Amino acid sequence: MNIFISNRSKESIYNQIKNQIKEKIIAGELQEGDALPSMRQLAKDLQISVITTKRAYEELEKEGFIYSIVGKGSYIAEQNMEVMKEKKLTAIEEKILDVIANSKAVGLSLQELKEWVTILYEE
Amino acid sequence: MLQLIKKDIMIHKLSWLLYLGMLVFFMLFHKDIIFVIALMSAIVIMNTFYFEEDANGHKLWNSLPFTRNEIVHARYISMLIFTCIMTVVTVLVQFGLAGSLDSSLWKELFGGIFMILLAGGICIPLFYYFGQQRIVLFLFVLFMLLIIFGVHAFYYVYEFFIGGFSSPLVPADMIVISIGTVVAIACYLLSWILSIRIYQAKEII
Amino acid sequence: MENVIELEQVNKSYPYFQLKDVSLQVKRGFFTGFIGPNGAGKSTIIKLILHLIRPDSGRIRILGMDYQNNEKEIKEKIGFVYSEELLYGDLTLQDMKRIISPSYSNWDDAIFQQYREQFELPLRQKLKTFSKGMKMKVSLAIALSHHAELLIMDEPTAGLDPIFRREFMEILQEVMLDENKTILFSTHILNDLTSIVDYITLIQNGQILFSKESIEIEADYGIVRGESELLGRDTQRYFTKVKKTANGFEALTDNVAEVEKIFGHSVIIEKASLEEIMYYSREDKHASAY
Repeated sequence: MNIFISNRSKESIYNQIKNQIKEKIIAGELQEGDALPSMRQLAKDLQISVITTKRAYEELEKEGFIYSIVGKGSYIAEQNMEVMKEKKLTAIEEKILDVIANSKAVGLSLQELKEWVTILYEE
Repeated sequence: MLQLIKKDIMIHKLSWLLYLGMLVFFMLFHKDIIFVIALMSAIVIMNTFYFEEDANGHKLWNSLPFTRNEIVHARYISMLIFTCIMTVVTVLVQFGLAGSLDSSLWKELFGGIFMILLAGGICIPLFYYFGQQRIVLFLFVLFMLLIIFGVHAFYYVYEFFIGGFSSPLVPADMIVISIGTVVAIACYLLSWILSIRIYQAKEII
Repeated sequence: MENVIELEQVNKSYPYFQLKDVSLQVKRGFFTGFIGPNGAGKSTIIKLILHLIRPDSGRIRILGMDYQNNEKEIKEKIGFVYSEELLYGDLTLQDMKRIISPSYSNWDDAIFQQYREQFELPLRQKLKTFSKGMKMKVSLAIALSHHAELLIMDEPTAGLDPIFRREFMEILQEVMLDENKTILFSTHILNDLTSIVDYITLIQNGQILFSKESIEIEADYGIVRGESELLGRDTQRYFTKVKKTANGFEALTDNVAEVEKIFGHSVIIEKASLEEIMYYSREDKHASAY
C-alpha cells in the first residue's frame, strides 16, 4: 500500500493518511477484507509517530471504512454500495466546487465552463 | 552480587601481570613482606576504584539490577580477595626465592593483612564519599602514606613492646596478634557499615 | 492506558536548582520526548526515575512498582543510554559484554550479536579506540539486549553527527514495533524528535510546563504574526508570549482554532515548531509590561 505524506502540508499527517486510505477504498484499490499494515509498521515505514497512525486508523474505524480485531490488525470493512456511491458523489462534488471556484477566479463564465466540460466528457 | 566481585577482578585484565611483576620486583629488592602485601593489595584496590571512576561505574552499576548495598558489599569482599591473592603469591615468591620459609613469616603475613584492613578501612569510605569528585588522586596518596607510615608504626610498636620481630613465637606475640586481629576486624566492619550509609545517601551524578 | 512511569508531586532541592511538584505519566507502548533547555531539570527527573538520586518528597512508581520494594525487578526491565559513555576503556566489547550480561536474568545473546553485527562493532578492540558514535552504539546494543520494557535515554544523541542521529532514531522506531516497549528520550536537539515522538513533555526551570500528544501540539500551537494594533487586553490571553517589533507582533498560541476565529485573515498563522514552542515558553524575568 503506497501512502505518501508531506510534512510541509498544512493538512495534518493523520488526515493525509486517512484521506489517502479512503480514496483507495473508494477507488476500489482496497477491498473488503484486505488487511491494512499494522499501525506500528505503518508508523515505522512512514517515519512518523505511532500516535499519528493510531489516530488515522481510529477515525477510519469511526467512519466505518475499516474494522480492527484486537491482536490481529485492521481490515477494510464491507462498504455499503449506496453509501459508497454517495461518498464518491460527495468527492466529485467537492472537486466540482473547486473547479467552479478556480473558474470564477480567472473569470470563466458558466457557459464557457459547461462547454469545456462537454468537450472533455465526450472525448 | 557475585557478578560484581567477578567484575572487580576482571576489569584489571592484564594489569594482573603488572601487579605480579611489581610484587616479584619488591620481593627481590625490598623483601619486607608486611610492606609488600599491604602495598600490593592497596594498589589493586585503588586501581579498582580508579577504573570505576574512569568508566563512571557508579552510574553504570547503579543503573543495572543491583542495589547499593550489594555494590558496597562486593567491593569489601573484593578487597579481601585481593589481599588473599597477594598474600598467597607473596608466600609462593618468598618460597621460590629462599627455598624455605622463616618461622617468623606468619607474623609478617599477619602484619600485612592487619595493615591493609586498617588502611583500607579508613580509605574506602572516603572513596565512596568523595567518588565522582575528581579527588581520587589525593585519596591514592593518602592511602599510600597510610600504608608506609603504618608499616613503620607497626614495626615500632613491635620493637617497643616485644623488643624484636624475628624471634620465634613468644607469649607477647599472642597478645599483640589478638589485639591486632580485633582492631583490624572491628575497623574493617565499621568501615563497611559506614560505607553503606554513605553510599545509600549518595547522589549519583 | 497503562502508565509505565508515574511521578506524583515529586520535589527535589539543590542549592541552585529545584524540581517543583513534578507530576508525570509516561504511557506504555509510546515514545515520549522530554524537551527543555539545558539545566531545566530533564536529567534530574531521569535520575530520579532511575533511582540514581532520591526525591525529597513525592512518589515514584516504575512499571507499577516502587524502588523500596522492587529495585532489582524494576532495573531488570529498564534499558538505559546516557550521553556519557559508561564503558571501561581498557576492556574490549567482548569483555564488557562478559561483565554486564550476567547482571540481567533476561540477557539474550542472540539479540546482542545481531545488533553488534548491524552496528559493525568489533569484539576484540579496546573500547577507548571506539569513536563517540560507536560507543553510543555499544550502549544502545546493551540496552536492547535484555528484553527491557522501558528504554530510558538521556540526551543520547548529543554530540553526534546528523547521519548517526537519524540511524539512531530509525532503530528506535524498530523498537516501537513492539507495543509493549516504551521509550523515554530526553533531548534538546528537537529535530530528532519532531516526526516520530508520540508524547512531548516540556520542562522548564524545574517544572513541567506541559505533557501532551504530539499531534495535539501540532494542531493547537501556532505562531501568529500581525499588526500590533490588533492586540488588546482581551486578546492577549490566547498568546503565551508576545514579541513586538517595528513591523508588528509575533506570538505563540496554544489555541490556533480560537485565534483563527477571532482574528480571521487579519493575522498570519503558521505551525509552531518544537523549537519555537520552547523559545516562546521560556521564563522571562522581565515579563513584558503590557
